[in-house]
Order: sequence, then structure tokens, then C-alpha cells
Amino acid sequence: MPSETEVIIQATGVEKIYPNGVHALRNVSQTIYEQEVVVVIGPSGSGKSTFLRTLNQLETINDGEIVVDGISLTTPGDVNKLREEVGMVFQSFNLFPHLSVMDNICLAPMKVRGISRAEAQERSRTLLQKVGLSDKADSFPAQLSGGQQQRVAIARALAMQPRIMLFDEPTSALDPEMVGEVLDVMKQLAKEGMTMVVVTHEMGFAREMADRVLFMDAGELLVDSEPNAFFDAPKNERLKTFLSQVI
Amino acid sequence: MNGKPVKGQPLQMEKQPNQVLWNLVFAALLLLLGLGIYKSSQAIDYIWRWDRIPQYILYQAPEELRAEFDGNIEVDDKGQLTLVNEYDSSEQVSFTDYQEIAVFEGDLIFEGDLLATNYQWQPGPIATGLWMTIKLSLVSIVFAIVLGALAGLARISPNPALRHMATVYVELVRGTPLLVQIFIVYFFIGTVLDLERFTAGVVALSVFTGAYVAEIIRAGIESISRGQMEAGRSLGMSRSMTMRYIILPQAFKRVLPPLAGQFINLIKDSSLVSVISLTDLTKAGREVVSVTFSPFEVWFSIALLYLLLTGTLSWLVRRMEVKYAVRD
Repeated sequence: MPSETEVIIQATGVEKIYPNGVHALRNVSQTIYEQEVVVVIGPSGSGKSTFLRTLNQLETINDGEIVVDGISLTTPGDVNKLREEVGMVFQSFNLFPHLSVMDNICLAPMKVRGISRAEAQERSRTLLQKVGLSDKADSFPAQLSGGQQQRVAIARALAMQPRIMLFDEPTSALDPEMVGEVLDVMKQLAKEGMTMVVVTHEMGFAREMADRVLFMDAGELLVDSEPNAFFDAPKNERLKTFLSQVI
Repeated sequence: MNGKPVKGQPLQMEKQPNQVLWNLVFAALLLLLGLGIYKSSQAIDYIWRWDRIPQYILYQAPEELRAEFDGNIEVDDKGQLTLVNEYDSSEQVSFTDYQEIAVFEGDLIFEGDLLATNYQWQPGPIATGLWMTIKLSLVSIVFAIVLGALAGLARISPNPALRHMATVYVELVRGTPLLVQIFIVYFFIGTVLDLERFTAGVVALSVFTGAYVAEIIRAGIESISRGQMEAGRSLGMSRSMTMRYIILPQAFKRVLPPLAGQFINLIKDSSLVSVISLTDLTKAGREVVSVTFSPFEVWFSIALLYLLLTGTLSWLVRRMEVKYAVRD
């Protein structure tokens, strides 16, 4: 249970205002424990992706504090060190189109972790097997379907052996028949005890896999609840409206 | 055209121009143009002497062997003609490897007489000028790439000093004529730093082209989606690592066609260095005109040679594009 394990992400009073004046995060506080799966849902523009991106400092914050794995993101330091421990999967996959699947996965471990090519290839073969794409090692991203690309992207993030995985709407850009294969990989990952923060519209995944579900709207974190209470007995009015629209 | 669909033949959804007809029209126009040029060349009072041109590209230079002492031509024991000193018969010169021998057995030879001649292919002024243009362009292209890449990266650097420096460089160079820059580099910088003509030419051309290359490279880098940088950064790679392994290789492919255009411009612009007395293709042309009094033939030939250079470059770049385009 969360209370018995270690705190891995601690966000306190986080404020984010974009240069164009949009107030994306308003006083967001959240504690995430090791091995937890936390799903963040909310209408578009609610700040859920922004919140996720602040956790590996792809977005800087204007106020508050975020501590990830003992490293405070607000004190200047080696942000790369932090990012080595936090894997991220994007909505638009962002695979490197000029590199083969194998090289996509091997690049960062070799250049950042400094492991040998042989070791990196060994590791990526294991990961490709895990995401069910052993036969695609030599393909290029453009030759893969969206679902396959996203699974490669997950393998690429895992190759750095992160302690936390962030998923930013990993299935939103996929054709409906490919959503399942990506969710299956994510479920397997959750079962293996990976700490995961997932921004998604997949309510089924949230209900089945999440330890906690967060609801955000207009930059505010409104609901933080375990999934059954979240979906079956929502108390917050805005959450009720949102759920009635999406389910 | 109605009837069954033909394999490999797309249905004509929209009225298309008749291919055969319009290709014929194109050929006819070309023919007409050629005819016009021919007619006008006949109409003017000008004697065309194309036969004079080749010798200025490549010619056979005579290499003469002259006697260094007085003597007689004798046949030696191998049956070869030999000049034997009339006072000291141990001093002999045999000339077997010559293409043209001007003496016969028994001839009386005095010092300075022509004995034999060899002919060797030598590059004429046009070929020498062509080589100078090639050398100048290649060296300038290399420096322009280095300079342009550095300035292009500086243009998008978060460091204001670098960014402003690069902007000033690009704006200064793009805002002044190349001819003026060549004069400034040669007469001012060249005097201060004691530069040779060739160095001054390379500096002017590469600094000029570098500014355009910088803009091309900047645009190329900015055309790569932001997600690529974010993906690299989220994997723990630094900004410069991501640039090097992720962004630049992709940008390079995109900037190839505009870069090729810029380098073709450089080859053509290199003709301006003739103002600082570098004997490039254009200056060689001017010199040959002053010798032959055949300006038309010479300038047509020079144009053709430039076309050959730029055409080769285009072809090389197109091959690179094809090579790099395989994957996406």
C-alpha cells in the first residue's frame, strides 16, 4: 500500500503561467509513492499535460516546489541527471525518424549511460520482445503503424531503466484498433511495479489499473480518489459533468 | 477514353494536357530558338573561328633540345644519332626519346643549334583558369559550411552574445554587395593581415556564402518538430547531444537542396574575384579574348564550362538526396 512505500514525487503549490498569460497550473499539490499508478484525467486545456511535463522539467514552473526521487527541480542543477530516472512517452511518439528502431532504443543508453553498443543492443532486444516487436529491430519508424511506434517509444524510454514513467496521452493519436496493444504493454509495466503517471482519456485503463485517479480542470487539481469512488460515486460537480460527457 | 480501366493507367479525373502534343511544342520552341541564334550569328559581320578556342584549353608545348657544345652528329654503336664533341670525343649527347629530330648523320653542329623537339600536352589559360575556379570554389564551400553551421547554431543559441553576433554577421554580409566585400577583404583586411590574393578570394567568398548557409541551416533546424528535441531531452540527453545526434542529421537532409543552390551561386559568384587579379575562369576568358579577338566563341565556351561545374554539383547533390531519402 502507498503509505508503506517511499514518496517518489512530491509537488507542492505548483503554479505555471505560460508567457502568453495562460494560467495552466493553479496551486497544484500532489504526492506520488513508489510503484503507484496515478492516472490524470480532465478536459482538454485543464493543465493535465502541463502538470505531467513539469515532472521532468520539460516545462519550468513559476512557483511552488517539485521534488522527484530526492532531487528538487526548483534548485538549479543537473536536469539531465533527473531525466535519466524519468522516462516519458509522448502522444505523438516522437521517435527519431532517421534511426532504425534498434538505434532509437540504443542511442540514449549508449550516449548518456555510457554502456557499450553490444550491451545496449542486448537490452533493446529484451525490451522489443517485451513490447512484442522483436522482428522490427531493423525497421525505420515510418515503416511501423502508430501502435507499433508507440510501443517502440515505450521500449526506448525503458532502455534508460527509469524509476518513473510518464505517459502523455499515449493512445490519443492512435487508430482505435491499436489502442489495445499499447494499453496492454502499459498494464504489464504497471504489474511489474513501475511507478507511472498517466494522462489519458482511456477510462477503462484508469478504472482497471490506477491506484488513484486525479481530475484536473482549469489548472486546478479538483479530485484525488481511488478509481471506484472516482467513477461510481463522484462528489465533485465538475467531475460529474465531465464523466457524463465522456462515458 | 471511356471503357475498361487499364492497369497502371490512372483514371483521368481532370482534363490533362496532351503529353505528346505539348512535348512536340517544346521541341519546336527549342528548334526555333536554335535557328534564331544561328540566323543572327550569320547576319552579323563576324567571322566565327571556333577552331581557335581548343588551343587555349589544351595545347602541345614544344620542349626543345639544343646543343651545348660544337660537334658532329654520328651514329653510335646502337644505331642511334649522337652528338659528339669535336674537341673531346668522350663528351656525347644521344637523343633517342625525342618525337622530332632535326638533325641528320654527319651534320656539323654549333652550340645553340636545335637538335630535337618533344611535344607535351599543357593546360592552356582557360584550363588553368578553370582549375583556379574549381580550387577557389571547393575551398570556399568547405569554409562556408563550417562558418555557416557555426553561425546558424549561434542564431538559435540561448546565449544572447552568440545570437546577436550571428545576426549582425548575417545582416552585414547579406546587406552589402559581394563585389564591395571582395574589395574590402583584399584591400583593407588583406593589407592589414598581409593576405595573398587566393586567401583573400577564399575569405570573401566563404564569409559571403557562410551568411546564407547560416540562414539555411537555422531554418532547417527550426523545421524539425519540437517533439524531437523534447524526446531527446526526456531521455536525459543534453541540448548539444540532442542537436548532434537527433536534430542535425534530420536537418541536414532537409537543407541539402537549398545548400546546393547556394553552392551553385558560389561557383558563379567566384567569377567576381577576377577584380583582384586572381586568374579564374572569367579572367582567363578575358585574357584569351584579348589575344584571339574572338569574344563570342570565348564567352560561349566559358559559359559552357561554368555550366559543366554547376551541373556536376547539382548532380552530386541529387545523388546524395536520393541516398538519404531511402528511409522516409
